Amino acid sequence: MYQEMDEPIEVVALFEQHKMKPVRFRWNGRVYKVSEITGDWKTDIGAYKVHHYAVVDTASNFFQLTFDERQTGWVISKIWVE
Amino acid sequence: MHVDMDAFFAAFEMRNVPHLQGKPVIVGGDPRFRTVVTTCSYEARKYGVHSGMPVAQAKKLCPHGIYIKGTLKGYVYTATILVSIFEKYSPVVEPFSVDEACLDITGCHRVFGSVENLVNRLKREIKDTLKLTCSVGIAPTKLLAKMASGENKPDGITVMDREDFKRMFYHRPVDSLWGIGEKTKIALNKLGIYTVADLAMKKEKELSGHFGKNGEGLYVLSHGYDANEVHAFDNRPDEKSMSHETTMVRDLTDIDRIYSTILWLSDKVARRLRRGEYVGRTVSVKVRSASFKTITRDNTLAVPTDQCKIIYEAARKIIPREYGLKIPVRLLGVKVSHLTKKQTETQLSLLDNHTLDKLALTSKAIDRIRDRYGDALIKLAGTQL
Repeated sequence: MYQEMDEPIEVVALFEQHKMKPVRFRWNGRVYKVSEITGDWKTDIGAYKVHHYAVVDTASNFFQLTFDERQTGWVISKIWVE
Repeated sequence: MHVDMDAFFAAFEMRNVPHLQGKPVIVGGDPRFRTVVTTCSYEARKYGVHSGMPVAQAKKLCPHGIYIKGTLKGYVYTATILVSIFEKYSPVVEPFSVDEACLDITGCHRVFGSVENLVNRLKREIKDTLKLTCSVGIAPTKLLAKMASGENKPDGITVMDREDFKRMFYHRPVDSLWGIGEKTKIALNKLGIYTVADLAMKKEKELSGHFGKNGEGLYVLSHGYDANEVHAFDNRPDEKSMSHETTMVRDLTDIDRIYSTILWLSDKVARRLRRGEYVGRTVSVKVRSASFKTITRDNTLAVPTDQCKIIYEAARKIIPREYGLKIPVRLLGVKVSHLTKKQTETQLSLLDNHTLDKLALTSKAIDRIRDRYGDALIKLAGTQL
């Protein structure tokens, strides 16, 4: 099931073909390498955008990473727990 | 051509979370509350789960299913990408909902060599871009195309003309026709009409005698005719009504909470009216009791409006007094109909023009703040009970 959260993370992102792609992130002192972006979408909060990325790391764990333009910051917004 | 995404919401979740592949996934609001199934994966359908079924019932049929609240904004965003893909294949695209659209491809196949090439390229582009599949129906009318797309799911293509329609649908129950719901089906069954063929055998006059104006529609439907054109998104006929409704987490027994919900719904409807530059003359409320009895009441205004305060006051007046006090309320809805495009000149009203101007200016200011910072930033105090 999804577990919702709102935990700040540090993210290394690549800007490629006018798109931002998270490639690795640090959460609770551990670094996770993104092996695949399985989905991405944006939501509007007024004139600002919030970017959402569904990603899988090299150990096949699922994370939803969110970048909020208003705060210029990243959070983990969801993980999948069996 | 009708394009229908395969189990769209469930497929979106299964694409994002690879752990879900091949599992019975059921999307339908927060499973802790009484919600209905919005959609489910094909694996879940094998257990008899289907859209519109209460989640509690789905859980009985498929207790080991994976129940997900869903990512509504993700679905809506994906739908906008879909429309941009569709528009590469036809200039006339009419979205029916977030997961289906009709495309008028008359003549477009010449650009792609053949209809087959067009459809294959479209399906491949959707798969490559969104990692999702769709089913396509190709037919001479919107009705037939819509019905064809459901024939070969998932990831299918069905070509259907009127003769195919007769061969494929005439033996099926009458509610397999697009637009025939439970109530119409029961009414038709009472007349001895059980299959599409039964309906097609009836004379138009006879159906009109029983169903009024809708009788003609039923007759046309049963023969696979449909004179409706595909309307491009920017060229759709004007809206006839705008509405919002909500099912309560728990039945409401407090009249103040009912009014508070009506205010919240009126605010949403009024904002949509202003966005579309519409004003409406008739305000309706829909109230469903805990025992599933549904009533609707209308209130016609002297002057059409797009103001929350006026819609709310009109709606509040027509809620029967016994609801909330004696009868617990499960669902509430507010609708504004008889819409017209807003005129710039001020119209006469029972409210003096100064009050109307103040209301309009306040709404305009609220709209501008919400446009910039999001709808959640300003809430009406009366909705915070």
